[in-house]
Amino acid sequence: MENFRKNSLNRRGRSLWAGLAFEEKNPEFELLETERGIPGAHGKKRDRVQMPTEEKPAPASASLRENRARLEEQFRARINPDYIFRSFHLSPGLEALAVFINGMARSESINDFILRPAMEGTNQPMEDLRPADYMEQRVLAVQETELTSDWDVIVAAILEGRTAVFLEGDERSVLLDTRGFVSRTVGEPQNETVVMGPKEAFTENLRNNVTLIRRILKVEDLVCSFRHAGGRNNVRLVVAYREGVANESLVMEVKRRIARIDVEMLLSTGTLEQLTEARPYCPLPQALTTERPDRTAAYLMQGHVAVLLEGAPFALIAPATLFALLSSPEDAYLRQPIGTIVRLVRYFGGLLSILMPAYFIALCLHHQGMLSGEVLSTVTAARRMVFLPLPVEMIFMLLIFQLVREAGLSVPGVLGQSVGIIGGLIMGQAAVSANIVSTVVLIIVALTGLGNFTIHDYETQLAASYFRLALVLAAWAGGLLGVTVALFLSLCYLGSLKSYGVPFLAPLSPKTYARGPVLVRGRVENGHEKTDYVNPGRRPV
Amino acid sequence: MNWNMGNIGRKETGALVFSGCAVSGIFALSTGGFSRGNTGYLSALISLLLALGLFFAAASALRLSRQEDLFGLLSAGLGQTLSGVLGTVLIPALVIASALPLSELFSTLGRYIFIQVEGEDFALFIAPCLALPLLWGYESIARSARLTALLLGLSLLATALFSLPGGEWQRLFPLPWKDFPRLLREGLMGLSRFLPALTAILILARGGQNTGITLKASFRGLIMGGLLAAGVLLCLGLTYPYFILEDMGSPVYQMTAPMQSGGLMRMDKILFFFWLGGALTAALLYLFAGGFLLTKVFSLKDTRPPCICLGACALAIAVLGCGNGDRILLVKDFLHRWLWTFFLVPIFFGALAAGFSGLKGGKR
Repeated sequence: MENFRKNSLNRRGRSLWAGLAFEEKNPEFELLETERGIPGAHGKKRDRVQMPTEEKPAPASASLRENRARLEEQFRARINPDYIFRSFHLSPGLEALAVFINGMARSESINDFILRPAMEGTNQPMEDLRPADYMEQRVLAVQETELTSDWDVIVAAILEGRTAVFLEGDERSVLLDTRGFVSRTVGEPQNETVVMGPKEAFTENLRNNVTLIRRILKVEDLVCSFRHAGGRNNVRLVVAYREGVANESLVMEVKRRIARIDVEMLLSTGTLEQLTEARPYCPLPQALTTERPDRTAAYLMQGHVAVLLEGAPFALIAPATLFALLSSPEDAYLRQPIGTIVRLVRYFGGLLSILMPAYFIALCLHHQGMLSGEVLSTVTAARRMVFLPLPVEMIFMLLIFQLVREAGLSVPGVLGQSVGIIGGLIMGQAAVSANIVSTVVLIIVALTGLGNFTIHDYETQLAASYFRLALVLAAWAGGLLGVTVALFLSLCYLGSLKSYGVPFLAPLSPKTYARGPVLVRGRVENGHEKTDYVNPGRRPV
Repeated sequence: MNWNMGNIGRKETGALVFSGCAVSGIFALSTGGFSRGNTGYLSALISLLLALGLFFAAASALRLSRQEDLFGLLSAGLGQTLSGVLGTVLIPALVIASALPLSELFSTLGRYIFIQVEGEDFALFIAPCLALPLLWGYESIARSARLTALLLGLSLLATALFSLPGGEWQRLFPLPWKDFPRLLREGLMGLSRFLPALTAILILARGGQNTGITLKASFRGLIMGGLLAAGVLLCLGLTYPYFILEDMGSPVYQMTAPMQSGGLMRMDKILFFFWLGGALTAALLYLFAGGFLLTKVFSLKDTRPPCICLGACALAIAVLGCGNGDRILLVKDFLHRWLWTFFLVPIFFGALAAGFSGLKGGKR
C-alpha cells in the first residue's frame, strides 16, 4: 500500500513536472550554432507528431485491363465523367490507354502530340525496346515525360493535369506534361504597391511563379525543388534557394518542417506558415509573406529560402527578422537619403501606432502632472460630456477602427474605400456629436491608424494591434509603470523569438558582422556582401 | 539538462555587464559615502580599479585552468564540496544584489511618481518582468539588454548633463584626500557595485560564443558602466553638498529637477522608467546567474525552477528594503559594509586555486 502511494505520488509529481515542461530539453533549432533537432516551443504537441508514414500501394500492373479497373474504381469514374479513359492502338499493334482529366489537361496537346503520332504510327522499329520506352523515345512529341510504375505518382500526376499513358505488357506508364488549366495572368501587386519598382505579382499558378523568379535571377545555383506539401489535397510547393549560398542547415530545416506537415487540406501560405513555425501563439509572423517576385528574388540572392505554394499568390521567405518585416520593397529602389528618411518615418509611424494610445491613457489617468495646463484643459473640455471612461473609450475606438478596416477589406474595390470614408468621417463626426467619444481620442486613434498603415507587412500590422491593446490595458492598470512593464516583456519576448533558428532581433541583437546600417538605408555600393545573419554557405572571396 | 542558455554575442555580453555595473553603481547607493565629505565619485573609481584587478585575476585563472566558467574553475581548483559551499554563498549575494537597486527604485516610485503607493503594489507589476524572461532564458535577457542598456546609458547621461548647469565645484568640498584610508575603505566596500555583474558573467561565461570573447566584452562593459556610474556620482556631488546628500532620498531622481518643468517636456518620469528597464535587466542577469549556479551546485536538471524561486526571493527583499525601519536600515548598513566579501571570496579562492593547479601542471 505504502509503495503504491509512493509510486502514485511519484507519478503525479513527474506528470506535473512534465506538464510544466521543466524536464524537457529545449529543442529550439539554432542556426547560429548547429542543428539540434525538431523545433519546439509551444508546439510541443506537434513535436510528438511523427513524420507522416503511409502504406505504399502496389505498383501499376503490366495488364492494361487491371490498371484501368483500378483507376476507374479509385477515381469513381462511373459517376465522374470528367475523368477520360481513352483507349487506342499504337501502330505496331500495341494496346494503350491514356488517362487524364478533362479541363485540367490541354486537349490540343493530347490530340496533336499523343494520340495523333501514336495512331498514325512511326516507321521506326520497336527493336528490343520495352513498350513504354518505345512510346517515350520514338512516338510522343511531348517535352516533359516521366516513366514510373509508382501508383501514387501516377495518380498524383493525373490529378494535377498530366496525362498517364499505360501500355499493355509494361507496368510502367508514361506521364506527360499536358497541364493546361485556366489561371490568372500576372497582375500588379495588391498589398505591396511601390512607386518606383516592378509592377509584377505572383499568381496562383506555381509554374508561372517559379518562372517569374527565374526571369529575375539568372543564376545557375538557383534550386527550385518541387514537392508535395503534405496536405491530403495533394497540393505541390516549391522550395527555392541558392545552392551553396543558402545555409545548408536552414534549407534542411525548412524541408524538414515541410515534411512534417500532415493535414487534411493545405490551401494557403498562411496555413503553411502556421504549420511550419516554431511559436504558433506568437502574434508576429516568423516568415515573411510577399506577393512580389522581385522581393523574393532579392532575399534568395541573400541566402534566404523561399517557399511557393500551388494556388497561393504569395511566397514565404525564411528566416524573417523584425527589420525584414518592417522593411518595404520600395526601400531598395529609392535614393539613399530619401530611403533613409522614408524608413525612419515608417519606424516612427510603427512606434506611434503601438505606443501613442497607451501613453495618452497613462498620462491622462496617472501622470497628469506631465501634461501642461493647456493640454490638460483641452482634454478635460473635450471629454466633459463623454459618458465612457477614458480607457474604455479608447478601446472602443480602437475596436471601431479595426471594424472599419475589416469592413473596408471585405467589401470589394471602390466600395471598400467608401466604407472607410463613411466609417472614418461620418461615423466619427456623429460619435463626437453624440458625446460617445471625444475629439482628442478620435485624433489619437486616427494617428494610430495612420501609423499602423506605415507598417508594410499585413500580418505585422495585425500583430501591432495586439501589442497596442496590451499596452493600453497595461497603461490603464499601472500608468507609465504598466507601459514600461509591458514594453519590457514585449522586448524580452522578441528577444526569445527565433525564425528558423535566426534570432528575431538580428542584425541588431545579436549584432552580426555586417557593417551596413540596420535602422537606416545603407548606400548602394559595388560588392557582393550578403546578409550574414543567415550564415550564407558560400561567401564571395 | 536544460541550461536554457542560448548563444550570446559580444555586444549582448557587454550590454549586460554595462547594465549591471551602471545600475548597481548608481542605484544600490549607500549614504555612507556622503558622511564627512563626498567620496562617492572617487570611491567608485577605486572600486572600478579593484574590480578590474579581480576581473583580470579571474580571467587569467579561467585561461590557465582552461575552464569555461566560474563554477568549473572552483570545482577544478577546490573540489566539489568546497566549490559547492562557495557557490552556495554566492547565490544569496546575487539575489541581494539584484534586489538592492529594485528596492531603491521602488522607493523612488513611491516618493515621486505614484505618491503613497507601497512597494507590494509595484512588486505585482515587476513580478512578471522577472518571471517570464527568466523562463525564456539567458538568450532572451541578453538580446533585450542591448536595447535597455542603450536607453539606460542615454538616460543617465542626459540626467548627468542636464544637472551640470546647476552644479558648483565648491560642493565637492571637503575633498577626501586627507582621509585616504577612509577613501580606500569606501572603495573596497564599493566593490559590491561592480562585482555582482562580473561574477554573474563569469558564472554564465559558457553562454557566450567563447570564454575569450565573453571576457573581452565584459571588460568593455565594466569600463563603460563603471565610468558612467562614477560620472553620475560626480554630477550628484556637484549638484548637492554632502550634508544634504546624507539624508536625501532618491538623490539621482532629484537630479532630474531641471527636467521637471519647462521646455524639457517633463521628461524626468520617462527617464526614470528607462532606469527601471536597466535595473530589471541587471536583476535578471544576477538572478539567472544565481539560478544557473544553484542548478550546478545541486546538480538539478533545469535552470527555470531555481531562477523563478530566486526571482521571488529578490522581489520580496526589494519590497522589504523599501521600508525605513531601524532593522532594515541596520541590514542595509551591514550589506553596504560586507556584501563585497561574498563576491570577493569565491573569485579570490578560485583564482588562487587555479593558479596553484596551473603551477602544479607546469611542474609536471
